[in-house]
Amino acid sequence: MLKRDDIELEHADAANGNGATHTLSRGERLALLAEEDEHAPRVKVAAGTPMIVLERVTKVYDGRVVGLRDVSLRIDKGEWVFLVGQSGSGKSTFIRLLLKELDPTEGSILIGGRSLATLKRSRVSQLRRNIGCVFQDFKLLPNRNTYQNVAYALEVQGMPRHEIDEKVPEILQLVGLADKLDRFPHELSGGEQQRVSIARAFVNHPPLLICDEPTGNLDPDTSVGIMQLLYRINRTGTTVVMATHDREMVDRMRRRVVALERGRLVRDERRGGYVVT
Amino acid sequence: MRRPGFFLVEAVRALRNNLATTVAATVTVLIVLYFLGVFVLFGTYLYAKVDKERSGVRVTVYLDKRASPAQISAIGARLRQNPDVKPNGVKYVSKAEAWAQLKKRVPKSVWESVLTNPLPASWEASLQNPGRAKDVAATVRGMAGAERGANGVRYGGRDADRLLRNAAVVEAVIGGLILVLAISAVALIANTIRLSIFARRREVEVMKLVGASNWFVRLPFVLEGMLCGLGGAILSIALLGISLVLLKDHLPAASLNESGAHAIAFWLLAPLLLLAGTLLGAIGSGVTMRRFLRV
Repeated sequence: MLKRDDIELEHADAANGNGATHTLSRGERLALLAEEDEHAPRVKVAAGTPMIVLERVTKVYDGRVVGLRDVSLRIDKGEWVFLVGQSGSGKSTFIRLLLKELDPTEGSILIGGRSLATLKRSRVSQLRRNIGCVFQDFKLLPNRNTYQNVAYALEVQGMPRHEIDEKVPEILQLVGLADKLDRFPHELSGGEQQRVSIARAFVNHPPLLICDEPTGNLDPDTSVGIMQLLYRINRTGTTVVMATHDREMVDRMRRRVVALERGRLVRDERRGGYVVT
Repeated sequence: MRRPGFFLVEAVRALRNNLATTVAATVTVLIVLYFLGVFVLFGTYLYAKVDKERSGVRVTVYLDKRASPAQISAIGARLRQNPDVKPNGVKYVSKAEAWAQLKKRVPKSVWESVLTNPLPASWEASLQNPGRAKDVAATVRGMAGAERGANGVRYGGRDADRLLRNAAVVEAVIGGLILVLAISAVALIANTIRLSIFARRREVEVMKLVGASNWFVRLPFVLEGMLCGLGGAILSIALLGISLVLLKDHLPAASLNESGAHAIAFWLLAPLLLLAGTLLGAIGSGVTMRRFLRV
């Protein structure tokens, strides 16, 4: 598990970085991303238990439609993994399996060394508290403002009010929305809404962050800002698994790429591109 | 949970957001519980009345004028031995006592001119089970014939029989109606909660996503159903009270009160209906959640 201290140093970074990068062109910002990659000190991750292990996982819907076919995969703590593939290739199935919204037809899944197969129904909520989720459509509650949307994730866990009041402004500061606490989702831009949803996903400091096309609804410029934010979160040691169609981003960042095609794992490259290079 | 108010706020917020369905469900509960209240009032009254009649069902053995004391006590002993007769339920009514009782029951003009006491002495036996009156009477009649000294046997006749038969029918009808009404109330609350879940499916999705436990997701919906039921119950009690007061003014019989047969007291009925309403709400939302809110 992450300790609170791990992200402390990211704080100042976030506050400054945000304002500064706004003046940069898209090219410069992408360059900055690549640069950060080269020079930023990576958080050391214990070599012990891997974050995610899939062993020969197959998921068949209704005994006919194949979601995933015989996929084996290991993702270590602190890794950044792009999940690429066409619509229907199994990316969503993969993500839903990790959240135990679905159970695999065959094979086993371990998260943080814990088997999902033996995880009791009543413990699934505990699992999800340790996995942050960011989606293309943000999934914010429309009748709650920024602050309330983020606080909701903590209320749901029964956290006392004074702790919530401490954590929420802190995380909103980190994502650069400290001045928009009382805005409702419809009063925010797409990028800002995604920042709220990232704040909600990360307010618990989960060791694993799953993103399903987080920039799918955003313009390229805004996307870079979101990716930078997620990248900063990754650097604190949080494992990031991101399903995406953003070819430019994948090619620029040169991180691990896992490609799915009709449910099969067809490529797993350490510093891959969107397509085979 | 440190902040139980959270759930109440959530439930009330949901009820306000789905005002139309909430009102529909509450009004249904109101109607159901109103009828339930009326049924319980009349039902308890009827049972009290039947009970009163039942306790009056006796087997009476009239004694012959010439019966010897030995014969009389032998008949009494036989009655006491009968398994259908209540222990200590056998009473000797002398000629004089019978006459005194009659004088009390009947207007003076009727017995004034009667110079001698025409009534026989008798044994009166109260029964364990009033339904067996006929059988007991038959046994006693046969036995009395053998013993001699008895002049006739009478039991709480056809009226009591009919009342008891009717009571069983009324019992079944009222029970059935309440059951049907309760089921429809549960179904309607279940439907309201289903709509509420549907209206808030996004919220539920987010709840599950951020790791809300099962009961945390469900509790607001259960509370919502219970509030629905409770609201309906309160309204039905108010309406029931008003209609009783109005009826009493115009129709004294509607007070459902006579010596020995009372309907259930209103202060007892009210919490009963509150409980029933809340229970209906909880069951309704429970039924829905088993089907639509598998976390």
